[in-house]
Amino acid sequence: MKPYLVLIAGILFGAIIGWFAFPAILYHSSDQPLHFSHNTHTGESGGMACTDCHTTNETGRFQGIPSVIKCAECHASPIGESVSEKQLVEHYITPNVEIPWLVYSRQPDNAYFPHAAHVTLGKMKCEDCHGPHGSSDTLRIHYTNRISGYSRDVWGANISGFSSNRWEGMKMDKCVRCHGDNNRRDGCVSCHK
Amino acid sequence: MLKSITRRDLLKFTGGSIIGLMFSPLPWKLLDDSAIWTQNWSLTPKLAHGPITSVFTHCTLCPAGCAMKALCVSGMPFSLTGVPFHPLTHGSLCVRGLAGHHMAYHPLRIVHPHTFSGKSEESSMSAISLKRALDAIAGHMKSTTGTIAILDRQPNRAISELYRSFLQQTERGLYLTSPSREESTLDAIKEMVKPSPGPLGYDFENTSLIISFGAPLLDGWGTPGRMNAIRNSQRAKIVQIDCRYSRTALQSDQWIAIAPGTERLVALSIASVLEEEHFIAQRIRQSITNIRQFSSMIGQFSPEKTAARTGIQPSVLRMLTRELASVNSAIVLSGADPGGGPFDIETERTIAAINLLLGSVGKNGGIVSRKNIPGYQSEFTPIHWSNIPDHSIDTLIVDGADSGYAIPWRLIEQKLTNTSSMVVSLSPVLDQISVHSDYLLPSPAHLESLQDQVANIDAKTATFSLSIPLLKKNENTIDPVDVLRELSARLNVVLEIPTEEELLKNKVAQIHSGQRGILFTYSDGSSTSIRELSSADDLWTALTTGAIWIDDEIHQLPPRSVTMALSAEQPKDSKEEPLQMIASGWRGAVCASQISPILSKVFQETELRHVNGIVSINPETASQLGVTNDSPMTLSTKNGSAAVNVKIDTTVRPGIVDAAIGPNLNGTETPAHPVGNTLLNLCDVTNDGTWRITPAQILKV
Repeated sequence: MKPYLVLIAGILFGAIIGWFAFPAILYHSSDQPLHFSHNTHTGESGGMACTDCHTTNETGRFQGIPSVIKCAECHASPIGESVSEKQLVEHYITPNVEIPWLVYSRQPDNAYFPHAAHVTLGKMKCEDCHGPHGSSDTLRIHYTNRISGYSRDVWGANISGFSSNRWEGMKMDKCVRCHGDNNRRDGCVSCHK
Repeated sequence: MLKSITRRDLLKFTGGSIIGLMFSPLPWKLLDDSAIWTQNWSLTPKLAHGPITSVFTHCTLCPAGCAMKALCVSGMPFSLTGVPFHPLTHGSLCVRGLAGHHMAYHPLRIVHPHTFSGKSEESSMSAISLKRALDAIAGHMKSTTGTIAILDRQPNRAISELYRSFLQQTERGLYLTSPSREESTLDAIKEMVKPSPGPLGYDFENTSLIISFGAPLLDGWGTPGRMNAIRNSQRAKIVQIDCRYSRTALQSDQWIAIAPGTERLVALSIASVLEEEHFIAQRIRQSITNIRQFSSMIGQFSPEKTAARTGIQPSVLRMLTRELASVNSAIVLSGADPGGGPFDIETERTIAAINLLLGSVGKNGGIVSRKNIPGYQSEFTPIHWSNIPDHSIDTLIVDGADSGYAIPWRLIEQKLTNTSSMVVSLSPVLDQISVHSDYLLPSPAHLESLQDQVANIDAKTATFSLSIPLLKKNENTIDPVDVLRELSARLNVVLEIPTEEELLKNKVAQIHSGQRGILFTYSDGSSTSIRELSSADDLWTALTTGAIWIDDEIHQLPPRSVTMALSAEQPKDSKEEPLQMIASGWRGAVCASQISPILSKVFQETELRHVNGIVSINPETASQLGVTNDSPMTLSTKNGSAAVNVKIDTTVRPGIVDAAIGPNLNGTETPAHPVGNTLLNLCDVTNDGTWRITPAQILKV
């Protein structure tokens, strides 16, 4: 066997492990507790805006995923006959139990991200960071990093950390780059309180 | 084929695999994830996920008692901010207050009674039951005949009155306050005027000129939000007379640099110009009982005569005095540096005298009288530390509330009896005093207990608010009021001591029955007259959900009789030593346990503040000593030596060593040295209870 062939085989093996096997091991997948279509709500039939459900409170603080009370405004009784609709009403809305959604964009506790500063003052659109999430028909599988415990969306779908889409990845380097590109002030304590 | 695979091939394959892995994201992603993993250990306190609520309370970290809005998740505070549109704090909170919710988790927090093997910083500590500790303390108090003293660094609270009553009952009690008092100018004025003007405050909002002798006015002094608002409004000119280019000097309109230790001379020179150039109004001259004696005394301190010692051109002082006399209203005040300690009593009196000569006392825009809070006892006269006989205190109880100002252990030590003294600390943390105590009975930490916050020293009207607990009290801590009750029972002191809540409810009832002032409510920014509240319960409910009671302003009257009790003695010349160390610090950060380690990490990394162990010297001094910037050196005084890092700073006067008293670098405190080896230990405490200037040497390591 030619000596360099063994070496190349090793390199290829290592690269395959690093690029393909490693991500498969690193993340474990979980389904969301309920089927949910953003498109049904925001599309032509629903006609809703993101902010109709993802609201801010009286202090301007973003409230994240809406509570079942918000869902109950329209779904107090089932709309249609789908299994998910039945589950929503019977398991969550009627007993007033919060739906244990798996959040794709949850940030560490030591990172403070004010939506108000970005959306209201910075005039950014939801899609700038969350991509076409608002027009999706199903909720994606949630991949959880086995080591850090955070969603794969925080790092980005591509294990290399590179992506062609601006909205992929929510690491600090993205924040810093965007602030730099837009000539925005930043400092440690702006985000790390 | 397998036969042809050699050991060498396997090694090559493995090496190749490692190279291949290096060209994949695996190592870098593992590094990143493992770093995040370390932030999520199960022992790391984590915020629960849940509804975010907001609660109003008040800060107790210093006497300012600023209003705070706490954001809580599942009831746990995670963010503190000021209260917008607050009439006194103007929505501000100092950096220390902003991180106040970290303090309950401070590494130097103590949550169980402890006893120490000795009074040195190296003493070992061991846990003890509360009952045994209280029995031992009461036993000591019974068996000794010397003075029982309580050191209360926030002396106007409801519990302060109980301390004073307790000491009065023991018949050998001594009530002590911090030697560095921001109200020292006001105290000196009260000494000199008759009849007693009652509580005094500053009407900064309506003044035209503020002259500060070393007071850190724009660096956390008084109510910081108020002082920032005064500065930002630019209605008053601020002149800082200081031997250091402090942060206040930097932000003031004019900095007059003086030689260290010459503040009294400068004040006397200003008084002499007022007299010489006939700026003292006839009405004021008539109110001064010893005007002739005073006039002849200050005649010897003209700016020309003092210039050589103060380092100020006579024309500068004359111009400043003319400006002082020409404005409608002016305030002249002194202030201790939080690390450098107070002025001597003669300096305080001289600075107070300028206000009296200007007619600034009892006048809007000057130093104004305010009423006592209904239900609170009338004021007490603080004892100056220089008047406490050395080696006279047998038992010293140190209350846990903090003023943010340093107290050198050397000052306390010289007042304790030599052999039999006992020091009891009620501090929630290991600080520079509690490490020297015999018993530590930890009180609840910041935001763990209900407390009152009364008008701060700078307030021009009386105020009252409550600090509502946001955190669950640790069951092994003990409220100071409960310590007092237990000791009273053991010592057979007849004193009715209610619980903290009963005590404060009683105060609120009396404020309500006083029918004075307004209630400012934080949730909607509204003001309501107290007369509109139907019951004391309504007032209690309002105060516990976020409000402050503010008294009515009163009509000001100038003092009828003034006695200028100033010494004619020439101030001692402190220029004899070739190198003089001046300690400096910022309020609430003169000890590691006073400040959140997370906050201190930020200011250390950015060098926003000098930490303990950094000294600054002038380039000329550096050249004489052969020192370069950032040199590791040894700072030595007669009290010992310490390793320091020397910074060369053109704003420091030649011959001066500006030594930062502050928290040590993170991680340098250890259980054996919990508060670090602070430069405060090197300061020379003089007979007048001050430690402003210490002869020093800088030696190469």
